[in-house]
Amino acid sequence: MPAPGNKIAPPAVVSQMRTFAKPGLRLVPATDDSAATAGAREKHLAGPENRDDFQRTFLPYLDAAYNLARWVLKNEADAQDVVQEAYLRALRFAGTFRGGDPRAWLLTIVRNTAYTWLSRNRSADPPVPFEDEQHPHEALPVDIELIRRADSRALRTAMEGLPTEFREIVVLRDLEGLSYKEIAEVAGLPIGTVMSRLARARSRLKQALHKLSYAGGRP
Amino acid sequence: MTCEDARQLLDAHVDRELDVVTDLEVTRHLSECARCAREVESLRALKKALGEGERAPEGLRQRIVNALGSSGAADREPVTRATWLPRYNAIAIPAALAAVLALVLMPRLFRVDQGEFLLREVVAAHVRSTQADHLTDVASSDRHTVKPWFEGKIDFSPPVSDFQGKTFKLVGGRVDYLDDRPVAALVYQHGPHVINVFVWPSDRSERGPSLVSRSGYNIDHFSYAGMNYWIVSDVGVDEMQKLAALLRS
Repeated sequence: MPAPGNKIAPPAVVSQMRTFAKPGLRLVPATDDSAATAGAREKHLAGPENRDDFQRTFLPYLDAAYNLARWVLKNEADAQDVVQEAYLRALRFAGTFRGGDPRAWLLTIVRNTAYTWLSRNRSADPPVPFEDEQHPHEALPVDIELIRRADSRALRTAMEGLPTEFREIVVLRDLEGLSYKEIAEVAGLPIGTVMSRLARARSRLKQALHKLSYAGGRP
Repeated sequence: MTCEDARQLLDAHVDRELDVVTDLEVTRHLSECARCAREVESLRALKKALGEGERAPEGLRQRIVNALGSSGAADREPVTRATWLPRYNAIAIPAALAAVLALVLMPRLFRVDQGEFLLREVVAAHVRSTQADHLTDVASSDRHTVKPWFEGKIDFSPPVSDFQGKTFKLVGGRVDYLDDRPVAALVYQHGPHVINVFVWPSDRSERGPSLVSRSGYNIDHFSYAGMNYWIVSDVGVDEMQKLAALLRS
């Protein structure tokens, strides 16, 4: 069966999101969704229609979910397992989703699931002193042409060489285009930390591409 | 704008995350500073080289759709059919049992979820308040200034103490939004640490403190004298407990 297209959720989906709100919660007064439908909502939550809503809302972000998991885990097969587990968790916690950005909400769960998986299945990576650069002021001047010519293998090696805490920020910002604010939400970090990690991550990536290109014998 | 200042903002400039005024200042600096201009060019090259994320592999989508479809207990088809029962009973009885189980279990699950969700909301509100200069809307260490400020902004009057002579110093207050309602946020300082105390009327009976931590923050929650209190901070557990005791005294 061919995978459906990866589209951004249409505006209609936004109104459907209310159906995830839990019964009994004080909802923000809504003109089109009054308390009279609370009973219907409750039934809705347990029924299969809810699952359709859930899929319509969150499946469009499968690619983003997969990319985040893949780069956190550095492994495609593990990423698939983690993404599946994350979607099941998301379905279980769909009641706590009350509007807002479904992508950020889903990615928060994917990220947590991935980190849980890492701590359970792999011995911790050798600690990388990611907060202090070894030679922060000795960064080599990087050849811009060299970055432009970097091939996918070099990029992958450079990315995988980053500490996970840095790599995930690059993935969310540069591969998936989340705003700083959304990244802060997903990673549970202050925006200032997102910014500094992103800057350091990019600087490291450039340095790594530089080194790789010389190590590979190319000019 | 100095070169040092501008250099801190180059990534945000490339990401179009700066406000208009700051962005203009950075742009002006770039026209004067070859080194920063070069840095911006290399950042753009890097972003372009990284490209976009990959598509998820074929099959993962279907795998997830299948998994989602079979994860529910309430509407799952029974897997085996008992031969000694009429066919419809084989479906109806487990379905009824599942429904009863769901009715019993779901409110519990929801309660847990709701607590966890509120916890995350409280932490997020704390984090937001420490960013971008939005810690207080009324800045004062005097409770006689802070308390009246809330009047007309929220539909209750929060108890405000300035703990004269204690290590906790009242810094000010602001209105925040939690648990689907406007709440009072009282801001205290303990050494270099900022402490947010969120207060709103409680419809529950009194509840003792329950201390947890999330994302590196300690959060204490209790109900006292008809009010919900949520304390969030990066101070240690001991200080949290001291402040909770002071608020309850």
